[in-house]
Amino acid sequence: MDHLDGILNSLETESLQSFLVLNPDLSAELESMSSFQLHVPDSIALSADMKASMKKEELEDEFIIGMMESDNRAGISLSSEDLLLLYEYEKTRLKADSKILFPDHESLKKNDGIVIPLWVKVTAAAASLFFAFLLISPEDVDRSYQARGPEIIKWNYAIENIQKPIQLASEEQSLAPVQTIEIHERPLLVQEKVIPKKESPPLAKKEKDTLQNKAPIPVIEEEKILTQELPEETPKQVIEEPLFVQENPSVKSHPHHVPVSSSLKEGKTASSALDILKKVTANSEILAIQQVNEGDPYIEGFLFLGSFSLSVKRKRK
Amino acid sequence: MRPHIESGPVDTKSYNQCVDLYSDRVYRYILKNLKDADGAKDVVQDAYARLWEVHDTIDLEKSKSWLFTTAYRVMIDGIRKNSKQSPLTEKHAEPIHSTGYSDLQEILNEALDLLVPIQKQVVLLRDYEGYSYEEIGEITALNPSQVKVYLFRARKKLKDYLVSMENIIG
Repeated sequence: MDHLDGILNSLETESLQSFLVLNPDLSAELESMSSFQLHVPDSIALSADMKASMKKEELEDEFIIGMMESDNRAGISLSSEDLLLLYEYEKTRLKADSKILFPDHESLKKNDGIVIPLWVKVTAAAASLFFAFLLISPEDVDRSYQARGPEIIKWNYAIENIQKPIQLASEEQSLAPVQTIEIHERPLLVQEKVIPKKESPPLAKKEKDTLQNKAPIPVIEEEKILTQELPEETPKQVIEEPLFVQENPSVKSHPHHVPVSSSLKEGKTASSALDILKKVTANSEILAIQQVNEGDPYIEGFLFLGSFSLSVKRKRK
Repeated sequence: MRPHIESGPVDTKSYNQCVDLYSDRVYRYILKNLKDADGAKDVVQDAYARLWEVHDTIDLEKSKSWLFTTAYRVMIDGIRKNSKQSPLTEKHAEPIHSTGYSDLQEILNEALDLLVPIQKQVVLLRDYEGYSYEEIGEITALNPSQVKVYLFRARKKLKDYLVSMENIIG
């Protein structure tokens, strides 16, 4: 077969021929094989006319399709056969179904947002840090408390009926001379204001007894009860000392909910400060206590108890 | 008639205008290919999300073409990733003929599924959107001559299918 295919070299061909001389039967068989030819039936052979016809048909299709896709058909005259073909091709033009709509246009749309430039953000952050630094000045920071580390807590109290002690103070002011002590966040900054005795009407005996029997209320000043002695020359009297710790009206959202705050002083712990608060607000109800995460730099070293008012009565010896 | 849109960068307003003008068209085109409403919706959303990412760098005039191109590529990527769906390079299986046809478009839609996918894309873009050979080439990453050849072959197949169906139906 390799010989018939013509792929043998000269040496192989010579050896094959010498072999065939020795075997004449195989030589005759090889000759018959080499003379075999395939004959294409006339029925399936493409004539030149058919090829031309196919070529023409393809060209016609191409022409018609090109014409169909072209927008400009002016000046072109078509035979009836071409028109029929064009009509058939026109049928292949797809039409979009206008009923099919995207289900949710609004989800794709964007709104105009306020774009804050980077420099504004940086400035705002710097300003926030500056004001935080002002609020937490180094002298206010309780170093001993800082050393205790994880007890950096912020408390938010909403106290209902906090007006009760205030009302009591107003009531008692009308009965006896009152000495008012204002405490501005730090107990060391105590201002005393003596109200002249003559401005207040004398106390009724029963009311005096009632007030004298009341135990003094502890105040947040190093857990020291304010039972200061008045000078000898001052007449014996019941003194009311409303203490005003710095208020923060911006967080006062409800007339019956009075946010209170105070700073934690040296030697105080969060729990002891809470105890004090509970004592001074014994007639009130603590509505909410919120603990802020540890490590908040803004409140480090402070225990904010909100702002509150209370009256402290003390009796002269 | 194509909606007129001015040139210039795509801002929020013009982006929303693109949503109103083109989202239905892109959706129809993708839905025709995927035959899956949720999948088509995802592709359209993805295409618009990408448009928004680069909206300040794109000329508004090119936004439609950009959307179709992106949607086409997102669709192709999705099909490739999803092994359950047949890739676009494969020929679609012979559809089962329904017993009756309501109209020509129904037969034509069936014939459309017999086309090689790239031929189908070319026909859809040509007939649905009226894109030129050059525009179709930009979307499908073909040159205009290839688009012309694919379109020619697709038309011929569609025509032959319609003729054969007309002969069957009588």
